[in-house]
Amino acid sequence: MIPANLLSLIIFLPLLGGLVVLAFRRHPNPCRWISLGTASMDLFLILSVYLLEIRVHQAGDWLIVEDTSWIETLGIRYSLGLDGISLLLIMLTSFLGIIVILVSWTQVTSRVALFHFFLLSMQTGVLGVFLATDLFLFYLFWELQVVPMFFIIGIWGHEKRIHAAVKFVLFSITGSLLMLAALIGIVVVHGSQTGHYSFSLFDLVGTSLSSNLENWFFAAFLLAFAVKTPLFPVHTWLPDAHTEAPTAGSVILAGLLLKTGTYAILRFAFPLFPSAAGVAVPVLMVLGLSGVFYASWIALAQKDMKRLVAYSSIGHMGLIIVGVAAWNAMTLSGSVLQMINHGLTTSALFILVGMLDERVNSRQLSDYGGIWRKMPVFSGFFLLFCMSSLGLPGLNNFVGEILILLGTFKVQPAAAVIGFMGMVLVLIYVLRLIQDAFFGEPRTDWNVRDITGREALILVPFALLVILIGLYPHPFLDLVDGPVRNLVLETGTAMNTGAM
Amino acid sequence: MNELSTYLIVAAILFSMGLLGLLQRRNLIGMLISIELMLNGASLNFMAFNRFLAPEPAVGQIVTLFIMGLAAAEAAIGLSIILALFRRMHSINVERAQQLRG
Amino acid sequence: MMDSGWLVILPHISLAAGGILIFCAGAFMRRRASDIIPVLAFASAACAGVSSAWIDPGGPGFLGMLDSGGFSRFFAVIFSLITLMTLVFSHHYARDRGFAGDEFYGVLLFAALGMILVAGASHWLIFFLGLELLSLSLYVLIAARKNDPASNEAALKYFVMGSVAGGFLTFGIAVLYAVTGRMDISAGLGSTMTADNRAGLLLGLSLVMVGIGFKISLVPFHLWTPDVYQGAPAPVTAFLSTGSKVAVFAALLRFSLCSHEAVWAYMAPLFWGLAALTMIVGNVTALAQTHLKRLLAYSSIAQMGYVLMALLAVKHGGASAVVFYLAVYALMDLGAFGAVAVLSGEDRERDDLEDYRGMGYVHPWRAGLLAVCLFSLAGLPPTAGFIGKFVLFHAAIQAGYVALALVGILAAIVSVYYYLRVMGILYMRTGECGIVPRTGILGDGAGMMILALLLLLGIVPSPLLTAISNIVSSLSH
Repeated sequence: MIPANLLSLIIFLPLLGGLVVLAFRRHPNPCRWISLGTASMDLFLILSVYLLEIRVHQAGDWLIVEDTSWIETLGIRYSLGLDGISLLLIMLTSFLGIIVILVSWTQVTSRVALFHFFLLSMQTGVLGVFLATDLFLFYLFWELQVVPMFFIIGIWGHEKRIHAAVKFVLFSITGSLLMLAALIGIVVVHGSQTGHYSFSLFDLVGTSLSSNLENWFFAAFLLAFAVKTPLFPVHTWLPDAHTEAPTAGSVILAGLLLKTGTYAILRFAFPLFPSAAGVAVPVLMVLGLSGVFYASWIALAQKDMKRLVAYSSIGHMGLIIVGVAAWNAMTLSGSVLQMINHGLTTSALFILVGMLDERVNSRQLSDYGGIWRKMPVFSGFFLLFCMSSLGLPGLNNFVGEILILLGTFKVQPAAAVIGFMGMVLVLIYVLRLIQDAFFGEPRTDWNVRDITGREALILVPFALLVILIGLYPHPFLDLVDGPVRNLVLETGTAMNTGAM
Repeated sequence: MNELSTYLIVAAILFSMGLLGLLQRRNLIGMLISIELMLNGASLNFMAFNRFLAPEPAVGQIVTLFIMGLAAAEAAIGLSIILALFRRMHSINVERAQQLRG
Repeated sequence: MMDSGWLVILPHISLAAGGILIFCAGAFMRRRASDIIPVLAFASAACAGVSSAWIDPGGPGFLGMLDSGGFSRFFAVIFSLITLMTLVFSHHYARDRGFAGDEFYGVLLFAALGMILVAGASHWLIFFLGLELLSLSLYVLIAARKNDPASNEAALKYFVMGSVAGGFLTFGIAVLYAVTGRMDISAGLGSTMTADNRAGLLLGLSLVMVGIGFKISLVPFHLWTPDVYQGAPAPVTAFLSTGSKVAVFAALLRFSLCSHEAVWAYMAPLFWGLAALTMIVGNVTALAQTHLKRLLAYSSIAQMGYVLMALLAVKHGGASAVVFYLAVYALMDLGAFGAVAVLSGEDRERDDLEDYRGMGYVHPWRAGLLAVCLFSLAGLPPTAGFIGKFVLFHAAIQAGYVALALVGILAAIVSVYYYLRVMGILYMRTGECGIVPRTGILGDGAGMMILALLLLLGIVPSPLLTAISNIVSSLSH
């Protein structure tokens, strides 16, 4: 029923489309349509997997796996695997993949083919990260996603784009190269113990390491993932990257790239090094919570709307880290759901800010005011996503946050309480944003249109999803339930022995 | 063994003189001569070792012949490079050739 | 009747005969020489490549002085490819600048012969002769632009440094000969170390290492590199930075594989220090460069440091990593300097980084070649350099050189910065990038081939890796 290399098809279809697009260098419109077609086809493939497979399996196992030999001399295989968590995340990926093309439809007018090539190859990289189960393959995709992002920020960004792009890559590379050392390290240790050199995640889980070694390896992995997430002290690249990136770049950054960080912590760092992870739980919680507070504090002082949303993004990711660190079925489900929620809400906010920027050519809060009167529909959407961002019950973020906080309360009540207080801070800066930008007197007498049909087409799916997840999260939670239970079962006990 | 060490000492002195000359000299011809000295030191070594340590096969002597040939080729090419430089700068002082630096 | 002795030197004969024929053509056929010479050069390099790739001579030739195993044949193929690419890149370049005479093409072939001899030598004399042939030819090639003062100066600098290196090498070989009584490389280095010969052996090896260090520009013997790379004509730089370094490194790999454990135990710490220094100094110095060729020169210095790091693992199966990376390195540097060659204007080389602003859009394919080569040098996917770096670090860590690998990783992080800087200039800044150079279809074709190979090896490295591990295992027995 399902073709043998469906997963490869899903991953590489966007890249293929990107290469085709490159051939239409001089024709912007075909580029856009081809990219849109490719991205839609990818989403269609993924949705059909969802509809067909889920009925069959239901369990927490891997739904589809793919495995062929690749670099035999080193024991590296080309192996992919799809479970509920990755299915949910690749659905998000391909959904946002369509959105970013629509968003850039009128925004990007120069070097259109190249832009879409990078967008689509970026999507390939992210999909690969979510599906790879061989550590080397994972590392390859992990590095691969950096390259297109570098160009998207650097070519189509704003004034200080080159600086931001280089900073982004340097931060990422620093983390990932150290991870590479640890990755080789665990493979070598495993190989010398068993005589079987393998990069497969399934083989390497359960490798017995001396606790010193394990701590170092875990630290290296965590650094790479924390930079992407971004966790509190290593987040400084993110505001720059967001501010300088074009809207599509911001959406990809917030919606997809950051998710690869938390996903990798949950899929690779914790299961591979459970006892080290157990030791690190308090540290992670503290860092995650400091992220929440720090980001909210800084967001309060921002004058640039895009920067404000970027900082709010850091805060939300901090909470996800808290949920991962607590490592029980409830918080993990919450964290995965929250990854999706954050991907939707923050992306939508970035898109809205981008639309304003397109109209007024400014992102400064002080240039706005009284938008509500000028653009009522637009403001309605903005308010909806702001409410979602601060966790209004009935909207998506509420579900994820409450799961994380309740689950954390069971293990670390103090952390949960502090996290809850952090959420209140979010309330303050989001309300300030709304008040400054949307109410009050219009400060300039600009004449702007309300949203166009294309923009509505972008925003409506976001709004529907935000409300759907808020009211009826069960299909999503069911999807992650099985895999999450497995993770807790396999890794949880080992973590506790480490913490003792 | 004493005789061998005499040769070795002479060879080492030749080699060191060559190296020192190369570092000290600013005259291109002088540098060329220093290079020859270094190679001669090595040749002398080969001859001495061949004579005292491995007398039967004539390998050391053959190597020396090759080194002589190569030294001649090297001198020829070196001189032609120096000549090309001299035409341009009207000097054989190496410090005049300092266009490339970073 | 042909016995295996002649089959062994088939590639060598092909190159030497090609060189001599070219000189004859230059001397006797004044009128049509300029048409025939490039074809002759191309044909003899191709012959050398084909004969070393497909004809297995069966056994070592010439009293065992010349290895004919997979190892030397593999490198012979690489050198033939490098020569072919260099010929293609320099075809228009040399003609437009008026140095496309018989001497350029003939000497290029002799240099290639020197490389094959160096990589295939199993006797110190052959190694020495090959190296000197290579060096002498390179002096001439670097000075190819007779009227360009930079070219002359570069040749002079390389000449002085090369001669010093040659002197050290000869003296070192003499000492090794004295201590071991053998001129055969594997027998000499494979002999056990005793209290009597320890001092002599180490002295000889250190002197040889100084000579080799000069040739592959390891820190602290690297100071000539940027000047020479900058002054030499770009295609010659491509040839010099790839061919001569790969050849000498192949020889060094052979020495390391042959050397006795006890000898190796003394050499390893030396290599450790050299590798660490080379990686750090090469990459950090490259940060400050404002000229592309100098930047690439420092980058190539650093690359040698990475390879030296993996060379330390040679006794633990690291040899195939070294060979793989050498092949990849040859492609990357050939492509990078080749791109400089095809992007250069007629009157002068395009060297200042600022001259490359916005080049990515003016010449998408040529700048694309440069970009892919730089990405590969930086070790980013999906290029061969990514796999290569991974293989190197894998070898080093597997052999237990974790600290050195960490030094290498830190150096690699630094290096990403300057590669990205060039990338930013190529694609993210706008500006007039000057005159549009014209080059033939050939140069672009070679560029595209390098680009394709880099990407292909980045995605399916397995066949080459398997082939190399077979070759290496045949050498170590």
